[in-house]
Amino acid sequence: MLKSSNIRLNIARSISGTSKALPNGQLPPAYTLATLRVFPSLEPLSCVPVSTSVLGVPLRRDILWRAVVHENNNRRVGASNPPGRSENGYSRHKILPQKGSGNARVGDANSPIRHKGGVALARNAPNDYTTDLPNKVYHLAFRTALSHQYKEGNLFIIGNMNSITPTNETDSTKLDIEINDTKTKPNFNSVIFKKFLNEHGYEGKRLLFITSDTRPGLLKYTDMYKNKVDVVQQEGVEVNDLLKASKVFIEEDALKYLAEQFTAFST
Amino acid sequence: MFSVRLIATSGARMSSYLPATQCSKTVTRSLQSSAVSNDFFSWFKDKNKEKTKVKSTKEVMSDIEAGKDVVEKNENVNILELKPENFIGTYDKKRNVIPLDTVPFNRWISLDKVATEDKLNSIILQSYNETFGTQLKEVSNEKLAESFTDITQKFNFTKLLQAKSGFILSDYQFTRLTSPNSFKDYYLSEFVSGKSLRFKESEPNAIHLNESSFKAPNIRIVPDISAKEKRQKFKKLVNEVNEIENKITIDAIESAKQS
Repeated sequence: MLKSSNIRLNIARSISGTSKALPNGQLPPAYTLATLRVFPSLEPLSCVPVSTSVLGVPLRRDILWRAVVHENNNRRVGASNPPGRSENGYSRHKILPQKGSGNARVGDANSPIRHKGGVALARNAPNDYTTDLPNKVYHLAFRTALSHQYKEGNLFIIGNMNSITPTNETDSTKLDIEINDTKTKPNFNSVIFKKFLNEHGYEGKRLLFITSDTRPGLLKYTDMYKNKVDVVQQEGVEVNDLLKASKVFIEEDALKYLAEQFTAFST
Repeated sequence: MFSVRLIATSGARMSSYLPATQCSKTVTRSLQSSAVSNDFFSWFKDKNKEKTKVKSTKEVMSDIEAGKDVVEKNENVNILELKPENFIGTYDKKRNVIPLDTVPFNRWISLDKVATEDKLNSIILQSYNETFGTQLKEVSNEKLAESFTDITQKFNFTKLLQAKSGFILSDYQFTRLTSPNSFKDYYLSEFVSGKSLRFKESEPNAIHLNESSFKAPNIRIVPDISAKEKRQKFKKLVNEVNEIENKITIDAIESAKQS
């Protein structure tokens, strides 16, 4: 990133004929810091530099809008079958004679302008509502959404790379809760997620958990909160998910995966 | 279909409420008049053998008067008690709730949130001293204005600051802020001022005005009281009125009795 910026700057200078940068000119930062935390206490373990092309993208609402519309269009099933005037079911008989009734001219009862008439622009399933969006734009939108959550302080990265402090025994460096099916009581694992919500004041908030692999424990114990809590594997995350969430919890490996996937076109 | 019938203490038929594992047990039938006969030849049997000796009413009465237990107890009979545990489909919430206080949790961040500038100053000093092993005693010390040169030290300082102050700092601010004094200024403007606690996601751009917002004497700000506080105060007032009315009524009744 830094090298390519320098190259571009030099090219720009050579084109414009100026050999020196402006006196107060500075290169934009190449990386930003991200704290690695543990789950569920969110205690910081260490921090890692992340490229600004992933977490430092400026907010572009227009790009986000295009990505959201694209996703919502592609999500539509298109299963409606509204009847047209040929399928509506009434007779093709002309309701009134063409002349002499004193009323306006009318055709049959299936006319789209009549009450209970057919639909003017009828169509049959499957109706395709999908729209295209250049990958370059979609990738930028994804990184913009991630960067926005990061800047707002709503992004929590779970992992233990280069850990400075030791991990507590009640914590995990993965977004998972161990399944405890034994009948020994009390079964604390069943309420650890409730405790997590309670401790951090996340009750009623929409939370997004992005995992690098299937996490059956997390899925099991968040089932009670499934209206507000989304658990998504890294391959299935969308811009909509990122924007709707109040807080985003992402595993370190999942962040790496997403960074690789969505920086293919970044310069 | 289960042909088993179980005797409950109330005598109700319980077979439909029981799980299959319980129903399939061999249980001595106490209410059923006839045994299950799978064999055709079992229809033909000596009726005289089946006749059991029935006690006369007088004998039973005398037994009861003598205090004897009239009901014949059979040890093989499994009597199902009508406890909530024995019913399927009923879930007793209270019985299964685990108090959250007992759940082990790594509470690394203070529950007491910093509310004053003096307290924040002491936290900044403590965090700095613990990170760098110094003995600074004043916030005005020039060292606090110096930028961090090591990311690890910056991380340790920030972690201590978050843990002691009770507020989680965003990673963006962790990157942006460079010196202990810049952290202090940020905490003052965002947390100690109450800005972050007032923040509501449903109203992110809300403007919070108070009397200190305007200096002109002709401007008066009506203090913003939350709906919860209003409800609580109203409830308290209604309770007080009810108590007074009850007391008046009781006094009136007692005075009427005496007169």
